Parts: sequence; C-alpha cells; structure tokens
Amino acid sequence: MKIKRDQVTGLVLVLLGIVLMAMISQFKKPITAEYPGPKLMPGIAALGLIICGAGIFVKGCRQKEADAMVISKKGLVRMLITFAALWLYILGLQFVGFLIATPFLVFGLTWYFGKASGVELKPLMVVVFSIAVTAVIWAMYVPLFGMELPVGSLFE
Amino acid sequence: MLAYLPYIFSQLIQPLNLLLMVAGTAVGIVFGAIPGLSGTMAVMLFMPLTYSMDSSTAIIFMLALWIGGCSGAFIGSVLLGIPGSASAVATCWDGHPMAKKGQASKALAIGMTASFIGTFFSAIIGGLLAEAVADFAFAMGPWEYSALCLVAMTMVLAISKGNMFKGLASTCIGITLATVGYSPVDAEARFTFDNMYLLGGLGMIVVLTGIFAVSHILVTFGKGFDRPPEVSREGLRGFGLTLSDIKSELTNIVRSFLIGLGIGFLPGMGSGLSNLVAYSTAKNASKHPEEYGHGAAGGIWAPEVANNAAIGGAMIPMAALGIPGDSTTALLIGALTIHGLEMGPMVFKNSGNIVYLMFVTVAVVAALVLLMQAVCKRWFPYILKVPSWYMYSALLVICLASAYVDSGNLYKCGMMMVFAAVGILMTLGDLPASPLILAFILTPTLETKTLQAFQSVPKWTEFFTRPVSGVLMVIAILCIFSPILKAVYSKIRPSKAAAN
Repeated sequence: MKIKRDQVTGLVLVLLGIVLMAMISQFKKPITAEYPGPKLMPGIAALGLIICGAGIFVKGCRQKEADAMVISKKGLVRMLITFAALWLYILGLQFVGFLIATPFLVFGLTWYFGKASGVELKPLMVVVFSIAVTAVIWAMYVPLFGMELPVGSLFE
Repeated sequence: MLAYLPYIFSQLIQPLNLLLMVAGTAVGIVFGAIPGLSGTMAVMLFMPLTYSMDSSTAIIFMLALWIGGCSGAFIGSVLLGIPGSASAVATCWDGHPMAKKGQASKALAIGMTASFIGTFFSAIIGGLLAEAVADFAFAMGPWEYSALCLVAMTMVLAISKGNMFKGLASTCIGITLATVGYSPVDAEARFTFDNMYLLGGLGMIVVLTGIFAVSHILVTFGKGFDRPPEVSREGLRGFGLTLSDIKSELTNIVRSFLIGLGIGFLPGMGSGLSNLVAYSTAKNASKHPEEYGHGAAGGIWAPEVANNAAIGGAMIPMAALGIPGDSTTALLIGALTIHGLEMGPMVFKNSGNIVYLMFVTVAVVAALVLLMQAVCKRWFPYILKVPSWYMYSALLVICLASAYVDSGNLYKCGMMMVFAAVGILMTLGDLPASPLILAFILTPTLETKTLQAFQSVPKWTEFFTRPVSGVLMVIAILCIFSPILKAVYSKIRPSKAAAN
C-alpha cells in the first residue's frame, strides 16, 4: 500500500499537537473555569492540531489513489541547494557583510536558476546584474532610508 | 472628516510623500502584474523600509504598494491568461480570450477603468462609513471583541475549498506561532526555550516573509521556472474604451461594486472571493451568458470592479474594528501598530487625521494607477517578460535584508529561513496559507480581550449569554462547520430532487 500525502500531513500535525500539549503542561499558571490564563490559546491550537491532524489522516486513509507529488525529487534537490546557499549567505553576512557577500549570492543564484531552467546566461551580464542589485538594495536601505545592513565582523 | 482635509492635503503634496506614492504605485503594479508575485508580497518586502519614516509617509507608501498590486493583477490575466494574483482569477476567463481576438487594448482598458471605479468609489464609501461602524463598535466589550476576532479567523474556513481540517490546522499553526514569547496579561514565557530572541515574540516580518515570500520562491523554483512568455505588443495603442462601452455595462458595474464592497467588508474575506462571486453573478444575469468565457466585456468588468471594491470594503473593519478584511489588511494592521497606530474604534478619537488620510490616499492612488497604466499600457508586455532567474535571486536578497532591518540582527534572518522551511512543508502538505496570516495577526488581540473578559466576569458562558457575542459565536461555529453543512446539503438536495 502506498502512503498518501494526507496520511503523512495528518500524522505530523497530530505529533506536533502532542508535543505542544506536553510543553503547555509545563506552564506555571493553571487553567481554571474562572480564568483560563496563558494556557488557553496554545491549548486550543494544540487540541485543534490533534483533531485536524486526525481528520486529515482519516481522509488520507479513505483516499483511493495517492496524490501526485507537488514537487519532483529533482525539484526538491534544487530547493535544498538554494536553501543551503541562503544559509551560507547568512554566514557570509556575519563575517564579510552585505556589500561583499551579496554579489556572490546573487551571481550564484542567478547562474544556478538559469542553468536549472535550461538557459545559458552570459557571465558578464550576470556579474553586472549582481553588482547592480547589491548597489541598488544597499543604496535603498542605507543612504536613502537611513537603515543599517550587516557590515561583517571582519570590518567592524 | 472635513476638519482633517487641510492636514490630508498638506501630507499629500509633500514632495517625499508624492515621490513615494508614485514609486510605490509603480512597484505595486509590477508586483501585481507578474504571476507569482502580488501586492501583498510587495507590502511585506518593503514594510521594513517604512520604519524610519513618519507614520503618514509610511501609510502613503504602503497603500500605494497595495493598491498598485491589486490593480496590476489583471495585466497577467489579460495578456498571459495567468492571473497576477488570486484576485484576478476570473479576469482570465474573458480577458485573455478577448486579447487573443486582437482586442488586447480594449481588455486592458476595461481592467484599468474597472479597477479605478472599484477602488476610488469604495474608498469614498469606506471613508464615509468607517466612523459610524467605529461608533457602533465603541459599545462592544471584551467578550464581543473576542467573539468578533473568532469570527474573522473562522470565516476564512467557510470559503476553504476541499478539506476544512486543513484550513483549521493552518489557523492552529498561526495561533501557535503568535503565542511564542511573553503571554499578554500574565507575562508568562511560552515556547521561548530560554532564548532571549524569542521573549518578545516572533516578528511579523520574519514569520510572514519566511512562510510566504521565501518559501514561495523556493517552491516555484522547485516546480521549475517558466521561460519568459511571448507577449504580443500589437494592438496596444490608444485607450481602447469609449463612454458608451461603460454605459452599456453600468448595471453590471454597480452590481459587482456592491458585491465587492460587501465581501471586502466581511472579516477574513476579500478580493480573492469577490471576483469569483461577481463573475458568476454577472454571467447568470447576462442576456448572453453563452458569450462568457469567449471574451465578453462583462466578464472583465465584473471581477475587476469587484476585486477592487473589496479594498474599500476591507478598510472599514480594518480601521473601525482593527479586524482585517483580508491578508494584506492583516499585514497593514501589524505595520501600523509598529508605527504606533492601534486600529480599532479608538483610532478615530486618537488619530482620526491618519485614518482619513488612509481613505483619501487610496482614492488618489486609484487615480494615479489609472493614469500610469493608461500611459504605460504599451510597455506591459515587457513587465511580463522579466526572467524569473534574475527576478527571484534579487527578491531573495530583499527578503533577507528585510529580516535584518526588522530586527537588527542576523539571528532573525536564520529564523526566517526556518519559517521558509515551515512554508515549504505546508505547501507539500497542501495546507492553505491565508488562515495562518489571519490567525497570526489576530491571536494577540483575541487572547488579550478574552483574558480581560474573564477578569471582568469569570464565566465562559458570557460568550453565549450576551446578545452580540452570542450571535457572533453562533456565526463562528457555523463557519467552522459550514464545509460539513455544505456537503450534507449537497447530498440531501439531489436525493430530494430524485424523490420529487
């Protein structure tokens, strides 16, 4: 038997609800009929997640055929690579700051997005685009609106 | 309202405000036109830029982004047959066939004019009605307010297609995220894991940009970017619409306007629903329903007037009650709170000038949108040709920059990535996003008012024994169970028909 999407979603939600319930039980102020306190809203949410998760799971069990994958395995890999690149970028922001890390990210992502879409981009064009995007965003945030972007611990 | 006119005028003619209005409108139109982006995303991404502005400048900029985005959504529907956002789904059904018949200019002109009519007049009506609604709401106590918040959260479930459990689960996730940090009234730390960054709660920008913008871009890339479409520029000269074209659709326009205004006013609903209802009503009322779907002018007028009329409708509960009419007004309420403006009945007493500035700005931006679209119509195809690989890499940088600017630390950028992962998992699990936004924004008010209510009268039965809150609770319960009731009704109806 093939596992259906709703079965997985339902189970995850039920588990999430149970974990939340366990965490809510650690809150100090008790819930009473006279005053529900800080447990009320998270409690409703946790109970709701358990009930809804169970409902989604049952619906998944009744389903005759499994749903088509929203994203292919190849697509999931592409997403993971982009996700990892963004985490690396955050690390880059920490050490070398916005002005140095950003052109590398924009170049890398634009190049990768194009390649994955079957398009050969001109490197010079992508370099110019990366520098321009960095400059425009920096100009918009820092001199124009007086905000700060990461300078990087190496330059602080 | 008249007393505030000098203030409103003085704000609107300030060079910086004018400049930001034009820039916001242009950016909004581009975000609205490109399928996959939206005015909501524009407001979300550029909101942190407003932190350094004074409140009136910030409001003008954000409203320009929103109105530009709402009005620009029809461009993709007409020229590509792909809606710029959910508010322009029905516009595709007749807009694109009309464009394919060589009448793209006329289809675009109808979209522009309909957007203007819907936005402009709904803003005026909204401005006239909002204070009266606020006066009524002034008499509401915490019990009534809690029940109203509950109705706003549950109404979105009533229109959720398919599985109501998924809508409810999304609401519950939104509630959970909103309860992170110190609780209101009792100040007990919840889900903070002794982390100082979590004590103040999860920031709106971090959660919503992560779940909606970053995850959306990653999911779109996961599914595969589309190549820039081939869009013809032929036949885009001239305005393409005459006064008699408007006169012949006057009944349809008025009807669709009222539908949009009414649906926009209902908490939790908005332009995404109003365009569909207006389209089907126009088709049913038409003498030539067979023309719908093949490029009928009425099929463009109806959804475009209705989705834009929902703007003024949604602004009434936003200003008067502090209850969002749709996802964007939910965002705006959050953004205005950051600027020290607490929406709700008191806002007319405390900051009436700002509230009326909002309504007048919407009306002015509606006229500006019409002007900009009429002048730039022949360049619309170029907006749709922006390659995704360039656009999305730049947008991802803006998302991360927004998270940093919002909090001033990179920890929140990391948190935004965590919420991007949550958004991806929600997409994979087919959980809708709108209920989460509404729940996340409304939960703090709902929780505070509920706890205040229990402090005043420690009996939960008060929810049902007070007339206004009683009616609202019944509506909330009906909304939760409406998908089941609809399913039961649709099963009974055919069997009754068969029995007869």
